[in-house]
Amino acid sequence: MPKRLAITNNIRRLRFFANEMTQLDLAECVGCSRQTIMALEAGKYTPSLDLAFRIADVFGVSITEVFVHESAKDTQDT
Amino acid sequence: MTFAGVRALISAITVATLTLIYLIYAYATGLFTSVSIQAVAVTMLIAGGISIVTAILVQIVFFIVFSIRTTIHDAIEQQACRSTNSAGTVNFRDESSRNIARILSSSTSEDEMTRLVAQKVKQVALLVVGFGFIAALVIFALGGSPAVALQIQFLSFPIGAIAAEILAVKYSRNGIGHA
Repeated sequence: MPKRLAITNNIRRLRFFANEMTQLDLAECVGCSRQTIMALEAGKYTPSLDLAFRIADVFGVSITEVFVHESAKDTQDT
Repeated sequence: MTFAGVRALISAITVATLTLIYLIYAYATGLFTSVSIQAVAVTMLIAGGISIVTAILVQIVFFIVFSIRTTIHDAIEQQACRSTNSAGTVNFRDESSRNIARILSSSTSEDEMTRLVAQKVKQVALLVVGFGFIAALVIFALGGSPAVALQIQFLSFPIGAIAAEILAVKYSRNGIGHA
C-alpha cells in the first residue's frame, strides 16, 4: 500500500497577505463554513479538488502555492 | 469545539439519556419478560415518538443558546473596538447585527466537510443496527423470548445513533480526510 502523503497548506499566510482576510470572509468567498477553513488551516481536513481550486482562485495563485505535499516540499528544499 | 461537534455531542447525550429512561421504564414494567408482543410494540412506538420530539426540541434550544452565545461574544468584541474608535466613524449596531448573521449562517451551513462526516458516521450507525438485527435473530433462533429479541433490535437504533454522534465529535476534534 502506498504511503499516505502529508499535505500542508499556506492558507494562513495567504490570508495575511490578502489584507488580513478573515476566516469568515474566505469561507464566504469559497462557499464553505468557517469551521472547514479552521480545520484546513489546522491540517485536520484535506479538501476536495473543487474546494482547493476555489481557495486558490480567491487568492489568485496556483493550487500548488496553496497546498504542498511532502514529496514536493522535499524537492523544493533540495 | 466547533458548532457541528457540540451539536453532535448534545445529540449523543440526549439519545443516551432517553435510552436510559426507556431501559429503566422497560425493566420496571417487565417489558423484557412480557409475553404480549403488542404491549412491547405499543411502548416502543410511544418511546420512539417521544424521543424524536425531544431530540428536535433539544436541537432548537441548542440553536437558541448558540445564537445568544454568539451575540454576547460579538457584543464583547464590539465593546473592545468601540473603546479604540472614539471618533465614532463606525455604526457598531449595524456592523454587529451583520456579523452575527454571517457567523450563524457560516456555522450552521452544510458544506463538503459536514457531508463527508455525515457519510462516514452513517456507515457506523448502519453497522450497529445490522448487528442488532443479527443479534435479535440469533436470540430468536436459540429459543429466546421474542420480547427480548425485539428489545435488542429496538435498542440497536439509539446505540447506533450514539456511536455515530460520538464518531462525529471525534472527527470534528481530530479532523477527517478523503482517503
